[in-house]
Amino acid sequence: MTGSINPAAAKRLWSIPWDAGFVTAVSFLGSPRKLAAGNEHGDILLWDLPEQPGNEVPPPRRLLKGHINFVTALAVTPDGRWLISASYDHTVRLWDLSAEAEGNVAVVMEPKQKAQQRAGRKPGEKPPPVQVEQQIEASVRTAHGDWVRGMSLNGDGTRLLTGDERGLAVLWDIPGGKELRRWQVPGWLQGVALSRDAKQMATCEFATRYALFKNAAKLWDPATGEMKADLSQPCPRAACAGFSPDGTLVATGMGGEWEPARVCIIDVATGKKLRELPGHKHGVHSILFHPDGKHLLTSGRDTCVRIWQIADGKQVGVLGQPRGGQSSDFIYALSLAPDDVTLATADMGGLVEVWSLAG
Amino acid sequence: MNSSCKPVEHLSRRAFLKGLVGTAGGVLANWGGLCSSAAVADAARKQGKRCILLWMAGGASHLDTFDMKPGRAVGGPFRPIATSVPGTQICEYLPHIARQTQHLAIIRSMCTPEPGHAAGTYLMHTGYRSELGTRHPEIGAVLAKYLGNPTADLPGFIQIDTDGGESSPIAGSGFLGPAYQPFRLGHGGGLPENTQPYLAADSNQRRLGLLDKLEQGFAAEHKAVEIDSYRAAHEKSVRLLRAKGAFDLSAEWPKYRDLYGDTPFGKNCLLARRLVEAGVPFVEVGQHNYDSHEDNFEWHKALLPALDLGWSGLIQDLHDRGLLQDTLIVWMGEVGRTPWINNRVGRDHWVKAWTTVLAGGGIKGGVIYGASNADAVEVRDNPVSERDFFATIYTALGINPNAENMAGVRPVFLTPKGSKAIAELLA
Repeated sequence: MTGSINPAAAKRLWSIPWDAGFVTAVSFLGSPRKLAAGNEHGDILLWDLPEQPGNEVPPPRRLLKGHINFVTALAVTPDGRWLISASYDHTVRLWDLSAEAEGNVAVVMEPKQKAQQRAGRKPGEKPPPVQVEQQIEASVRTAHGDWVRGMSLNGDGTRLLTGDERGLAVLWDIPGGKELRRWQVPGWLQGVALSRDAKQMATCEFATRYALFKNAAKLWDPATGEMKADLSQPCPRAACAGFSPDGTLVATGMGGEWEPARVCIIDVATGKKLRELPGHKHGVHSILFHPDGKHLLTSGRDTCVRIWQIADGKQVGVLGQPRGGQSSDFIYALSLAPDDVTLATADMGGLVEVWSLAG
Repeated sequence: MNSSCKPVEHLSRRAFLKGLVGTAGGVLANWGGLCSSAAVADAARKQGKRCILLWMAGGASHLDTFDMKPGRAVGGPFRPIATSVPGTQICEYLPHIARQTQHLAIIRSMCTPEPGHAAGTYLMHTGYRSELGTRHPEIGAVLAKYLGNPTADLPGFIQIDTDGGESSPIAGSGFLGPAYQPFRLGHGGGLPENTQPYLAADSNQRRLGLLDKLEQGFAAEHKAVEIDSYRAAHEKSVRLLRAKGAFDLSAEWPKYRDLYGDTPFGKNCLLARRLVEAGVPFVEVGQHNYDSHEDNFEWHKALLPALDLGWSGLIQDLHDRGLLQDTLIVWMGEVGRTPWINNRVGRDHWVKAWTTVLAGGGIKGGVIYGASNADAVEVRDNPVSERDFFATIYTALGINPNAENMAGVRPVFLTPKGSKAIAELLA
């Protein structure tokens, strides 16, 4: 059931500090009350959020320990059982969320000076750790030989697309983890997208500057492996992409610190650009079509989530505000809960935030 | 006096003082060196040493190359790998250099006073901080003077692709004068288009002879530094054209493409090898865009593979030709980068603890010298100043860093007073 959103009345429900490192990925776990987030050190934390928002910040429940580098993406199967993570450590890991924990471990949520000052601690005084359950992954996929930057799961959670910075894209069967097909492109794959029915896929080869390849965006047929359209012209410097729920549109976002960073909406059937959405001051990191098919959510380097009306390209809502300076903290990732109105953001500044878009 | 000294060097301090040209409130440099300097040059030249500087314009991140801090919050996403020297690790994106580490002396304790690009570039090309009224010579000019053959057709000081905005070296030959000015090549390393003669060789020669005759007469009647400078520059150009085959990579490139890497930097490294092999005492090769205030890791990940192959190919090629023992390779930029990762995933400038690398001629390989502290915020052991760094380079090349040259009326050492070569780094 699709919940309707009211961007103008959106409100923040939770602001969860986790400044042990950049928060780089986020995903709801089959419920608006269950949340996962990953950080630059490879840690993934799970939270159970209370029914009602309150002043007290909910503590994490479980630490998923396995990655040893930047977690770039999180996705969960619709039944909420399998969490899938991608990382700079070249691996894709599957976590069985129905599995029992394997002991407890202490984690420090706010070791940075700002948080210590907020808590009235003296410099150098360590904040108290939080005891959480610990879990290791059910399986590790090692097809990639470089940073796995892009990951996309289809609608029923049976197909997964991953892409790395050696230009390898892999289509997987989930949850078995069998490799179904692979593609090789010349550039670094920073963004990949799989349509809900897994019949379309998009890749974004992108480097901010100085790499020895041309930035490119392409549409592919996952069944045949053939390229259907080269979107590099209409979507310059695309670093991320997402498909509309019906698979007829694909949106791409410019990466890096380009000004302005535009979002392009493309007609999949023709490969033509329908609309261009300026607004993000710098690069775009995450693109998410709302299940209502009418709205698009984007986030990026200007510390904002922007909500767009697809029909006319109008920006109808902004969550957060630029913090000043040049791209002060990225919003790395977005995740929409199954109720379609609860949104989570991964804020590089050391925050996981949860918003209600219902107003 | 030593007979190999050039006339301009046969000048006493008194002669210099007498020969100064006063201008409106200023003093023209006398382009001279002291005689002790000529003796130093004679001694140095006999050793036949050469130097190639790999200039990392903008300042490469030491934490993401040669002084990694795995497991620390400042460490970043790059991972260390083992090298040919047991116990020494460097960045995973320098795998070919890792196999040549037995030739490297890695200085992890540079501590310098200039955090800005322009001032840092001046400092790390001259060994001196910029001062009003004195333009110090770049290392290339010093080596051209002390190691170069004055009668050679090729210039003694060549810079390839060093135009990097504020990170561009600009001091040139400084007070050593126009004879040691750099010959600069652009990004592709090729000679300028106007180096193609439009006359047949014999016609060209006749024309040059006529020009020379006319200019001799003019110069005899009009004594001026500017005329001598112009004639010197023109003569250098003519000689350069005679030797321009050294710049032509077309025959060698197919054979060496894989070794040096098929990148502009790789090509320029091969050109540097050809030039030092042809007798050029100093060649500088630039690699740009290390000023990674944003997306530090992506930038370095994009740049390091070209550096890795170009540099390692250069070491290997020089080694295979028996030239490495006489060719010092210097790897450095003007600054290091902050341990802290900023909110653009960048690293800013940092000079309190950073890294440079020496390899080859006169240097002990397989050495780590000095150390930064746990987060590379400060030097923990054996701090190395720019002056000691330059003194080490000059000493490795057989040049006494205390040799003096005149800057106007003032004698100036090659490296600032009190500089000391680092004995542990010298072979």
